[in-house]
Amino acid sequence: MLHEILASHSVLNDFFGYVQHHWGEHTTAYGRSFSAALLEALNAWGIVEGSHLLFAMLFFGCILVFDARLLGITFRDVKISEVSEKLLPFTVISMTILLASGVFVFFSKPQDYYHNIWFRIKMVLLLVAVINVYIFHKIVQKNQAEWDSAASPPTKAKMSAVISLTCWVLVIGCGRLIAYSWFECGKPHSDWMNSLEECQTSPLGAMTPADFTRQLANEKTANDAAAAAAATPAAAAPAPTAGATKPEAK
Amino acid sequence: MYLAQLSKMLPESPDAIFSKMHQVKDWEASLKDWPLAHWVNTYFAYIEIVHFMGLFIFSASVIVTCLRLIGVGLTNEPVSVVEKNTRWFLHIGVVLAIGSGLLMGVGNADKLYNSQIFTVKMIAMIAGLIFSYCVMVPVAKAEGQAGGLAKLGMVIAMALWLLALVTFSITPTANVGIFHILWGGALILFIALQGKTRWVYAIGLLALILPWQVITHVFIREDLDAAKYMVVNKAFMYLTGAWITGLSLYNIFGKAAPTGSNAFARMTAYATILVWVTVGAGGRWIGLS
Repeated sequence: MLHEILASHSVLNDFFGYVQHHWGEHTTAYGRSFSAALLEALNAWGIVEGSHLLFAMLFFGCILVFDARLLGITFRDVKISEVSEKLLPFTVISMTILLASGVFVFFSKPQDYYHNIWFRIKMVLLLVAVINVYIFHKIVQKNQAEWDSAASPPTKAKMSAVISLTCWVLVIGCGRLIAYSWFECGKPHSDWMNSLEECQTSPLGAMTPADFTRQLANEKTANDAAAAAAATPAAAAPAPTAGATKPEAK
Repeated sequence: MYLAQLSKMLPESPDAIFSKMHQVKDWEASLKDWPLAHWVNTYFAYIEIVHFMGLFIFSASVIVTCLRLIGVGLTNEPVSVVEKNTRWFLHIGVVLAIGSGLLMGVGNADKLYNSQIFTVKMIAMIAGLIFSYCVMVPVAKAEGQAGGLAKLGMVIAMALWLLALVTFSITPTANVGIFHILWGGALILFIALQGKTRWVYAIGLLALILPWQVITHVFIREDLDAAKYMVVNKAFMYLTGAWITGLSLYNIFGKAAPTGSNAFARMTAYATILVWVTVGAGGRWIGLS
């Protein structure tokens, strides 16, 4: 019993559902929630989305150049610490604004994003990227003085760069795929996909291919029954009585 | 009278030109039947990701080189070294973005052919390529000095960019996308301005944006008085635009600017970044308009 309640109920889903659909509906224009109002705001949304994309480009641009230096592809004659020192302020500022604007982007459709598989993968990749940065600063950079000027840094630094670039490329890819509804809850998916997206707690529900086939079969049966009933006037309607008139065309 | 004179100046009669335009239209209409178009529509999302990655990769080159042209970023290295080391990002990114863009065009030929905002994007893209290859690269190679090619490129690309901006601003349902370019300019300016002026600018910007948001979402609401809302919204847009543009020109022509750069280099940097923002904003609004 408890298992069933837990499976069909999610505090986070309920919370995000309330935020997305109801919070602020009595105070905003057209009775929209704050989330919907933000999404449809002419200029506020432009600031949020524009900041997210522009700072993503600035962030990725700096990361790409730095990781390429770690891989020994660019700036081979320049010290790694110099590239890092000059680009780090831009990466820190852009990441801060990316996270802040990302919170607002999430706020625009929190319940939809919460159940979106691409969003979930993106969050995991972000976590991996952050852990990679931590490992780079705490472990890989320990003896950076020895290879700071090396045209081709050691393998551990290159590994760090490869993980970083892979994570950020995938984060950008997942960010774009969030807009696609291939794996939206309520569509027929395998059990594991429904579980990964917690579809059973979403307003659209969970559906497996077997459920979908069953639903189609039920609909077909219902349609066939309706067609059969329509083809048998006696069963479809009482026999016309004298003086009965045709219904007026609407 | 005027049209008759104009038609004499044209190499072919207007009828012949219209006939050719119809041929283009017919060719465009046939694109959706190409097997390639079916393939593109099947894998559209993946092609779109390649398109995005192309934009992100060449933005690495454009942003890092342009920041150096402004006088910030990798300032320990000469601008020519920065350009040389990021050049391949520009080439690879442009090839990926244009190649995937062509494929996306084949899959959506009908929609794009009739889209005014797509025309804006294409004009801005040509301006962006001229800015990047004929202005930014030569100016960076010459350590910020402008040669003949760079000056000619600046004039042509600037004219094309202005044409794109004007067309963008008069395209119904998409003109709100101008806001992205304005915001891009605001962010570059924050990085480029030095000293106290940066903070004066930031406070001024906040003093415009915060009342703008509060007034247009609390006091003069779209649902209660749409006409007044639009007037106030546009007034704030023009004021903010004037504040950003004015201070950008102030910065470009040498005030509160970093040392080690010149007006032409700063103009190149601002314009090159913003023209690509225009291309991105155009692409964003193709899907929404």
